[in-house]
Amino acid sequence: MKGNVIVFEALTFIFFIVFYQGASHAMGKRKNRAFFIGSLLFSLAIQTVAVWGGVMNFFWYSQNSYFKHYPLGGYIIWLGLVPLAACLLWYLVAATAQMLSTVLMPEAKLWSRSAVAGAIAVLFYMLIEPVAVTNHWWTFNLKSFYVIDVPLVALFAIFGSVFLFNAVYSLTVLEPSDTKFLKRIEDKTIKRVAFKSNRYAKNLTFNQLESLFFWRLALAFVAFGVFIAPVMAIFWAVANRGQIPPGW
Amino acid sequence: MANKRIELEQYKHYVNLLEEEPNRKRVRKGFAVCVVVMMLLVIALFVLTVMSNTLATKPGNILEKPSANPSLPTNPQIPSTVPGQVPGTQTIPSQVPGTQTVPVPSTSPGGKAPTSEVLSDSQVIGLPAGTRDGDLIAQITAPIPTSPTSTAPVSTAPTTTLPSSSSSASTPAKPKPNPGPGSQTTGAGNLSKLAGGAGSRGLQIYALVMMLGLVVLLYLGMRRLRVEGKAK
Repeated sequence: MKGNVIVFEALTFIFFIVFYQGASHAMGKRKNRAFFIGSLLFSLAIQTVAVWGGVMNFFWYSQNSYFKHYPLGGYIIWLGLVPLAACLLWYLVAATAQMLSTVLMPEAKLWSRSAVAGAIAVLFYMLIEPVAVTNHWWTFNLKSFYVIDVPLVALFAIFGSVFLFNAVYSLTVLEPSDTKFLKRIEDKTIKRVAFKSNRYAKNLTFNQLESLFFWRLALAFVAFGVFIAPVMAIFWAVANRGQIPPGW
Repeated sequence: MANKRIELEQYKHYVNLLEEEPNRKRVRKGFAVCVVVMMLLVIALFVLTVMSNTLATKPGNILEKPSANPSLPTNPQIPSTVPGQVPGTQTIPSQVPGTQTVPVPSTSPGGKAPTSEVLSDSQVIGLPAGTRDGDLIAQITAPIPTSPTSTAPVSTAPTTTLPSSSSSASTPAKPKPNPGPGSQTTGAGNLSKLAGGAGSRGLQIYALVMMLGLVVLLYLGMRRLRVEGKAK
């Protein structure tokens, strides 16, 4: 007996619909919408790069006889190389981690709260990943160090991505503020081009804040790449599982 | 005038946030819904883990290639060899380079099966136990391909594999370069090892611990918000 991809996808969609309603009440409609769109794009970008780079893939079986095994052929909705369900799952985990860290540590600094959110997300994925690789919801094909067939790089990536995403969300939407480094870049780019002014983040309207949020997410994506590259190199050096050869 | 304008703009922003900020009761209710949904997700994942325990115990499951024909099993079982009987339907791969297959002459001393001097341990695969003098033995010099489509003809004659003149017996074997880690994880890296441990309940125990930890964490968050609400 196994949990097919369709079971995973259906579960994720149902839970997402109810969760989104709850999160709209808990965060506020517009903030939750910004969080959702941001997390969808951010996770999609990271996972697409991972699939491109051969780190993981979601169609291990669909290349062969998968469509004969399952009537609906695995995932129903794809966003390019990544199924929608995987992005929705990332949103569910990231939003829960964000809310939990805010509730549990309301007085803590933004960075430590984001780090706790990242750690909570890792806990969630430590439960999700073994089920996922067993049932082929996704497959890792990376030369790396694995623990119970989950590469440690994946868990570091979850931590890094949720940490950066939550930091950007808190820094832009929850407590709009400018750091020296960000202000220098933003004054010359997005604020000059889109807002036509150099106002501080706290003086921007919500729509402008949303734009600034997506802009900062793009920067966070670059920061994520800088963070994960040495992590991948370290685990590549101490790998206990290699890559599947191309002629598999 | 300029100051007034700045003040108005700030006020506008304040109104935006005021509209956005929901009241505490609504926040608590929304948060409770999210927590319950995540608890259900965690429990569902635990159930899926328990369901797929048998799959997880299979060592090759993670990177298993599906069979071309879904009606056929992925790893077809090779029929076991009965002593003194030649397996009629077993497929043997074509001649392995570097080895020579020579039929054993009927006048061989005593008509015995090949001895260990002729056959190295690495070459003999699946030699049936309890083989006696005169028994016919089909010797396989390489692992049997598991592909169900392979239909190579079967040689029923008893054969002996002799090393060819160009075999590596005379020349020392060159040390092979380290191929690096294989495509199968070992030790703690292998999921099937965990799944097979603790009386085949290793993975279930792991998932149970993770589930309980997450449920407690979620409950703590909900309780904290409830206590805060009562205090206000």
